[in-house]
Amino acid sequence: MNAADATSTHPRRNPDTAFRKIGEDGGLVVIPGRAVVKVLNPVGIAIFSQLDGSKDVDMLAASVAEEFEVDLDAAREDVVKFLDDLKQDGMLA
Amino acid sequence: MSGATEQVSPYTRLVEKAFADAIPLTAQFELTFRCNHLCTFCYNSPDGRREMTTPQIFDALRKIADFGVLYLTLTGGEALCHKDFFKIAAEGRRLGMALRIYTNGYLLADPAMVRRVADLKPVEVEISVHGARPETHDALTRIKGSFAKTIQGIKNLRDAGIKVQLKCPITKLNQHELFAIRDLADGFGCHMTFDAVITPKDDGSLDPLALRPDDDFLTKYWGEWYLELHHGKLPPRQNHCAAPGAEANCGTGRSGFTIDPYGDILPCVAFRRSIANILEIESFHDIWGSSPVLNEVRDLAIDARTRLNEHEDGKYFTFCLGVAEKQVGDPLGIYPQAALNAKSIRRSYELLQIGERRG
Repeated sequence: MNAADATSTHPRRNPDTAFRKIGEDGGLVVIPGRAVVKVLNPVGIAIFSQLDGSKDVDMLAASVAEEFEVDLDAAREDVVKFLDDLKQDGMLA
Repeated sequence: MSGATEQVSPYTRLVEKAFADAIPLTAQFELTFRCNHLCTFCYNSPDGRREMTTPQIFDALRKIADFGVLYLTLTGGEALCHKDFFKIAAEGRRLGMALRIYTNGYLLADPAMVRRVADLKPVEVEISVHGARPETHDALTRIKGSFAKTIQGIKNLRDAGIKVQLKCPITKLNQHELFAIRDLADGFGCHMTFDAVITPKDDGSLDPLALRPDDDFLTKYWGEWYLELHHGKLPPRQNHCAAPGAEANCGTGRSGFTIDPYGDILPCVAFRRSIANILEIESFHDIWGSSPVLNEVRDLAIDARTRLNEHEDGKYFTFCLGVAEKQVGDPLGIYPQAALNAKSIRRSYELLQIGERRG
């Protein structure tokens, strides 16, 4: 997913994934059928847990900027890159 | 814990964190005690109570998912013998949990069943194989033709692209054909796990132990054959369910829990002290941090590791509190199989001149 795609969609996680937050340290995402486990850092799990199709990239970035007290532009850049990684790993619907 | 120069993967770090904080990642759900096999060494001990209905199982699944459990393992008895297995498994998936299925594979000889399993997108299916030959496997399951059906089930699953893990409890009937069993697994591209400990039944009966492999075999198994049998992998020096370097011996009441067919919540599949009944609680949050049973079990797991570390072969023990309680009447008591295994594993490491290191 490139930046243009990301801003025009409301990303949704692959419904086949299962994930669990582990304390404040991040979380694990399992991609069923592929027996793959992906480790997400705290920012990643915070974004991933919001990928229910109701939020666009700007809303996700605002959420990250507020929760982790980072600059909005930097947060947006991170969100776009993260979504791109998720898509490549088959973790987006 | 890890040394200063060791690289610990983020995955390992998170699993260790979950273990230390008793965040359960896995729920093992025994859907039914019904089974289409008659294995003489089976540990299940149905007590005649009424098993949960499907709506009750759905309610239990919701509570498990609400607690954030990552992996749902459906087992039995024989899980596929439950009349609503596919409805239940689909509900577990709908609730967002990754699915594992433990089965004897008998019913998966039917390709239509495998197609339905594939639709569930399980992480893996784990199947018990008891021999490399029909005569051995069928003698242990006491079902004629079961070997052929199970092997066909494995083939069907692999053809459908499903990850299959095979496991084999070692008994005196199959101890002479482990390499052939391993070759069978290799032929399917499946990982094979051998279990060298036959456990008592859940009601305390020691009858299954009559089938345990003999001591001479176990000494050779750990000391001479293990590496070759496992493609160069070293024998385990801790329970598979314990995080590396953890102060607790195992993950009982910590890394996961078990639900039996009556709804009783147990610290693990082997240590069957009832914590509560899942139908009688509102939420796992009400019991997980405060249950006296769980607190005692977690303390026992730490006590077990502390005691084992004082033993001559302590660093080489894989030890089960549930087996100890049933076999010698004390969850901290060292039972003969554990002692023999630890001694043999230590000798194996000494022969290989392998010292202390992580894992």
